[in-house]
Formats: sequence, C-alpha cells, structure tokens
Amino acid sequence: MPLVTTEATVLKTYEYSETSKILRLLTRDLGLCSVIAKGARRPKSRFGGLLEPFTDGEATFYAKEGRELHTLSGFELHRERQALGRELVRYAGAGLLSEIVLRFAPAAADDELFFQLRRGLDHLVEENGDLEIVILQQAWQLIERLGFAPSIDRCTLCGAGIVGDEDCFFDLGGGGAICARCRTRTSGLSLRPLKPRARAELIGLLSPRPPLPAARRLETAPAQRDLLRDFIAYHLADHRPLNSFRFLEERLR
Amino acid sequence: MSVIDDLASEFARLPGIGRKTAYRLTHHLLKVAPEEACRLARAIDAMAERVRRCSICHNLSESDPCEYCSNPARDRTTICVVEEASDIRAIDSSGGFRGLYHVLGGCLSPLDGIGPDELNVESLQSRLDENVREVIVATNPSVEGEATAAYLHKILDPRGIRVTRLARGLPVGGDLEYADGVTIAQALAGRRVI
Ligand SMILES: [Zn+2]
Ligand SMILES: [Zn+2]
Repeated sequence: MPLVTTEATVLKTYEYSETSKILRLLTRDLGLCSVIAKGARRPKSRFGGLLEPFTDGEATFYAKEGRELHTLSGFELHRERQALGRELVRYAGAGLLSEIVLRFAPAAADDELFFQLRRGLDHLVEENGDLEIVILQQAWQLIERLGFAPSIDRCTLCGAGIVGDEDCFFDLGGGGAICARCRTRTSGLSLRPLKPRARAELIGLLSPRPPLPAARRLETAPAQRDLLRDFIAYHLADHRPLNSFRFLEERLR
Repeated sequence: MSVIDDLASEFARLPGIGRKTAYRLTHHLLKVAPEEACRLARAIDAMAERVRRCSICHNLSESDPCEYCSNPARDRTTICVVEEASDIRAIDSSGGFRGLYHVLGGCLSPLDGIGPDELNVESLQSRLDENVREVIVATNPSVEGEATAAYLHKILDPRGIRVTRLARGLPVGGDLEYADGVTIAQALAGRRVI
C-alpha cells in the first residue's frame, strides 16, 4: 500500500457518515482521484476547514491497488479559493470548470490539464472584467486540453479555409465548422448557423493567445453559451447538459 | 429473501451503515426481548406517521405550524435561515437565539443542479412582512454555504432587511497554533472591537 504525496485541487466534496467527507480530487500525479477524509467533519479535525471545493494543496494518501477510494492521511494547504463562494457567477463558473474535469478527465497524470484548471480557477477569483468571457474561455481551454477541441478555421468536410466574413455552420456532431458549400451535402440535425461575428468570437475564446480582453463584453454571448452547452452535451455528456451549466445560465440571465 | 436479510438490507440503506453493521444490528435485535424490537418498530412507525414539514418554516414537527412558529414567546423580528431541520436543534439548544427559523433544504450547488428554485427561498420571501427586520444566514461555513448566503443577501438586501451571517472563526477550546490557515484568515476578517 504505497503512500502517495501529490499536488491536488479539490473539485467536490460529499458528506460521508456523521464525521467524514469524500473528496474528488484532480491530482498532478494520478489525475482524477477519490479519497476519504475520515473525521473531516468534526470541528476539531486535523484537516481543519481545508477540505473545501476549489482548494489547492498537497494531498497524502494511501493508494490502494485496485481500489477506487483511497484514505487521505494529510492535506497541506497551498491556496484556498473561498472567495469564489462570495459571488454567484464566479461560483457557477468554478462549478462548471470542476464539473468538466470531473466528468471527462482521465485517472492519469496530465500536467497541462492540472495547471489549466488551476489557472482557470485563479482567473475566476481575480477577474474584474466580464466574467462570462473568462468562464467560456477557460471552459473551452479545458475541453481543448481534454482533446475535444472543435475545428473552426477550416471546413471539417472539405478542408477549405473559412474566411472572416463568410457565413458558415457549426456541426455539433462533426465537431466543427462546415462551409456553406458543404452545407447542402449534410443533413445532420446537429447543424446550426455560425455567423462571422460569432465565429470570430469563438476563435478568440478557443485560442489562449491573444485572448479576448475581459474588459469588454461578448457581442454574441447567448450564441456562445448555447454552443458551449450543446457542444459539451453532444460530445462529452451523453446529450445531457451539465448541471452546472444550467446553474450558470440562470445566474447570467 | 428472508426477513433477516430484509431487515439488514433496510439498515444498510441508512447513512454510514455498511453491510456488516447492518447484520450486526439485525442480530442484536434478534437477541433482545421481542418487546424491545417492537418498541423500535413502533417508534419508527410513529415518526413516519406523525412528523411533517411545517408549512411555514419547513421544520420537521408533529404539529403544523411547528413548535417554533406557533410559540408566541419567540421573537418575530428575526429569522434564522438554516440548511437542514437538524441544524435548528443545534442552534436552539445553544440558547443564544430566540427568534424564528427557516429551513432552506440544502444549499446552492451547481454540480448537483441545485439552484434557488430547488430550495425553500420563495417561501422565505413570502414570510418577510413588516415585522421581520433581520435574517441571520446560518448556512454551513463551506463554499456552498457561503454562496447561498451571498445569494440570500442579494435578494433580501434590496427589501431593506438586515442580512447577517454567523461569524466564522476559531473553535472554542481550539489552540491557535494548530488552527488551519483558512480558519485563522476568517477569524481575522471577522474580528471585532473589544
Ligand atoms: Zn466544406
Ligand atoms: Zn415552523
């Protein structure tokens, strides 16, 4: 039963029995993990108030071979993000990033994903501009990191480049843009128009450099929200929208 | 399935009880006098039969309105909002509060799909007549509890109601030296003049 010490971010906690908590962690060395923190709900627990969602630290636990649930023996706090609870849009955004990771991250080390999530949560704590841009941007970047990025520069059917002012379509099923010429060749129900302005803003949300400045608002915010929600539902979540997405949409309304 | 397995599997559905403990409890009841086992059954039966949600505050009670809502001695200017009915007992037995309660039924949780519509928020708003001057938010000191408090502040503040939050800080009997960083930071933020 090897003792593992790894950097970790708490994604979600569940109450377990009278006194314990189960934590879902994204760890640097083992990817997604579940640990049980025995006694964590007692007021004088050695874990104190540390084991909260969106907290970074160094987790030590006994990783049992073939077991899904490990026993946490220590957690050294590196960074807490309790401030996310003080504003609902930030809280909703942090929930969305966590849910994407929880649902789709592998149980294996992925440094880039690990640090992408931390950066995303930090942005949400610190951002003073438009939070919606930050949330959409960070969500898309996690999705890219998980290997599901949509192709937006070229038609996914014929490969032709799509120019700036060209009307095109987004194919949820195919996972990217489809040019107007190919539109006639497809009959997918998952097709929707993608206006030049919406496409330009989507490109800005997808690529980290140069990012869309959060100082201004998205012109096509509702379309971007719909697209991200449906894309996740279609590709990642058995056609069901994520719980946290609905929560986010209600907060942004 | 035998009646023994039947009872054990009912026990196993309770929080914190695994299969082993479920069988241990079942065999314990087989060993004691039959009257004792029946007393447990009757207590469960009576509870399920008689305990209801209070239609005002959602507390669990044998009467509707519950013993707090119907008690004329309680201070009607202050409502203490809690996550679960079980929190009321903890707060009331502290003796530090004589007002009314309101049970939210949980707290906001994006990942669980729990928004304001899933909580008893509307019924809280409908209780806020001219008598109510303060709402004390006593949700748990967690990110979820904090977010729920922020939401309640956002909707109640424009109505001219004082919204307060339970202070967070060092546990009584705790040693500063061993307190974690989050707790110390919150104790500092919640400091008061002495
Ligand atoms: Zn094409
Ligand atoms: Zn009541």
